[in-house]
Amino acid sequence: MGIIINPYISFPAASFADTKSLHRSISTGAGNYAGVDDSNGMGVEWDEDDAFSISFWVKAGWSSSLNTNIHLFCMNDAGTTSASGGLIRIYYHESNNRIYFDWRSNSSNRSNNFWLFHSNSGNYATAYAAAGLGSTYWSASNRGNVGDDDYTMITVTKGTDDQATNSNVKLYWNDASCGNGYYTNGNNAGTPALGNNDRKLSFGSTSWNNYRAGNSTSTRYNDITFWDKELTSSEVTELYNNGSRMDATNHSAASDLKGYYTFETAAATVGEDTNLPNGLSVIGAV
Amino acid sequence: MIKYYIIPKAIFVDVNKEKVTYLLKSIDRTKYIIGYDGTFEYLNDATKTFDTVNDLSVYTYNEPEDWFGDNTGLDVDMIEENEYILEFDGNE
Repeated sequence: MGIIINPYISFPAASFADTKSLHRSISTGAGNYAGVDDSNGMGVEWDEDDAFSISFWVKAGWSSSLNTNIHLFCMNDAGTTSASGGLIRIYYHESNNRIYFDWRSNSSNRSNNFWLFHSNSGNYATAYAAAGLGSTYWSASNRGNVGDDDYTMITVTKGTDDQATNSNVKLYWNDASCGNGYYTNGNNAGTPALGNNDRKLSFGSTSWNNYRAGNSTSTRYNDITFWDKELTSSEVTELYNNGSRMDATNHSAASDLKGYYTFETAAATVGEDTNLPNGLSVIGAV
Repeated sequence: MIKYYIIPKAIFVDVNKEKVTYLLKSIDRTKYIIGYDGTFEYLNDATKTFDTVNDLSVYTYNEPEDWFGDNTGLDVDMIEENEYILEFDGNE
């Protein structure tokens, strides 16, 4: 006996709304800030020995004339006004096509790794293939491999070592690993000691002075997630969801989801949302 | 000791890249800021010289227009950590 499908039964639409995103462009200082003033114990107060992951979707808006770095994500101790004090950041240097993943307690105690995307040889061929940018640098006119709406999902994962060695940190472009970064001793100094203080989270700019937001055309951010674990490759693939942003609360690792920002409302889906923007000039269409 | 220089693009071709520690091309690519570890042979061609990375950082904040699309300068650590790699960053 065959299966009879009733054409009059309709299934409810997915409840996951995805109509808005965060728009950031050339900074005008504190008035252009977008983020969370104080993590207030939400679970992202990581130190150098903690395993964690940060993921976000970004639609490049900067041009090849940016010629400097754009801070895609940045956080440091709440109230700190310098590039130190529990600093964790992910930034892109447009001038030489590198993504840096960096943490530090101060300039003398820091560790970082970076990946570049325009060399199709040796260790760097993996990142070259993952990004799909070719020999041209990443910008609004060359977004490389993208998912829905021309967004790229960028994910960094970290293990429990305090240094940004290739065995301890990974970068994913969408769901593809970027392989080994350019970790050298020269990228590091001292021993980072971040502490577990409450943090200020800044989306698309520095957290200590709200600059490094790109140039004139907005770069868009969506579905920023913070995970209290080193996501596995398969978990990143699950989050990428074949290029279609998913409700991260349904992810298999959701029990470790400590922050989740979709920008659909002024409330965080998970985590703190003090001063999270909504309806201001920095919120717009996907 | 590393010093920093602004030089015309044409001069960079002949500079000993083994001693270059930092490279930033202007937005229009006509002039370069370089960090150089040793005696710089093309001092007479340099339009500006910075004895320290702090001096260079101050300059970038005072005169960002030719260099940065976001109209702000570079902090010291951003200069020091963004080292020139001949294999990937070009030699001309």
